[in-house]
Amino acid sequence: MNKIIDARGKNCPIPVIMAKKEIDSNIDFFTLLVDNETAVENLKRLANNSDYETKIVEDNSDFKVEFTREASADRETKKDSDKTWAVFVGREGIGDGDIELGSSLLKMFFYTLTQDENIPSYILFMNDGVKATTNNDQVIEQLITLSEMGAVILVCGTCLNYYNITDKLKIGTVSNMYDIVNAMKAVDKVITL
Amino acid sequence: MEHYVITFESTHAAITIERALKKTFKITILPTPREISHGCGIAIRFSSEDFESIFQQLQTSPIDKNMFSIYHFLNGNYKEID
Repeated sequence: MNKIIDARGKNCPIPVIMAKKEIDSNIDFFTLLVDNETAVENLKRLANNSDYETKIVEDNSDFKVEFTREASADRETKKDSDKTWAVFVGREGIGDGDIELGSSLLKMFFYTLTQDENIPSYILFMNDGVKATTNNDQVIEQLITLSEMGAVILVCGTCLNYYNITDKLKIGTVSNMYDIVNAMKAVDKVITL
Repeated sequence: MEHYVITFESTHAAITIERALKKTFKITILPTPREISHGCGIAIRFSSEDFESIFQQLQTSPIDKNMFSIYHFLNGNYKEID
């Protein structure tokens, strides 16, 4: 059954609020009657953001906005564990501050990643971060484990070259800005340490 | 897998001991296991074969004995060593 809500003569936000109330009640179909095009556009946007489809029927000077909930398959949002992610390491340790503490935190971070199946798709090293792939034995060991688990480790070649440590790289692929930017774009989120 | 974990009362104690032990031993820095609520966030893990040597070195370290605890991990449980 199609519920019809009359929102004609209501000022700007009211029709959207009325539609939102229906959406929040999890209804599959409903129709809003409005009398201006601004309201129609606002309702289309709301529908789009709420996984409803709209059909607009003009009726003299009024508009019927028919809301239909999208099929559940389309609506299914990704679970957190399905989201892909990447880690960006721009420093030799985690955060600013004492380098010895930061280095211990970095070891603990990668240790913790190895304890769970949900690992990042990419681990990216740039600037001072590249040093961790050459001199931090524990981090290197855990990066090897993560690499075996399927993580791709990209290390900025320009940076290794700048610090003159290219020959000391212990883990990862010497990479460039194109590959690193592509990796960032390919995942749902990038976490910078 | 059987191993030992040292937990610390302070982060400074953890870093000082890490600095001393890593010269000689194969150690792993890890977040203090959730099963051991006691202590600061940094812990040190080492294998059973190094237990005697590390235990000896800790007795003579400048860090007060009250500043750390050693746990033996065996059969899925941590047991504190007195």
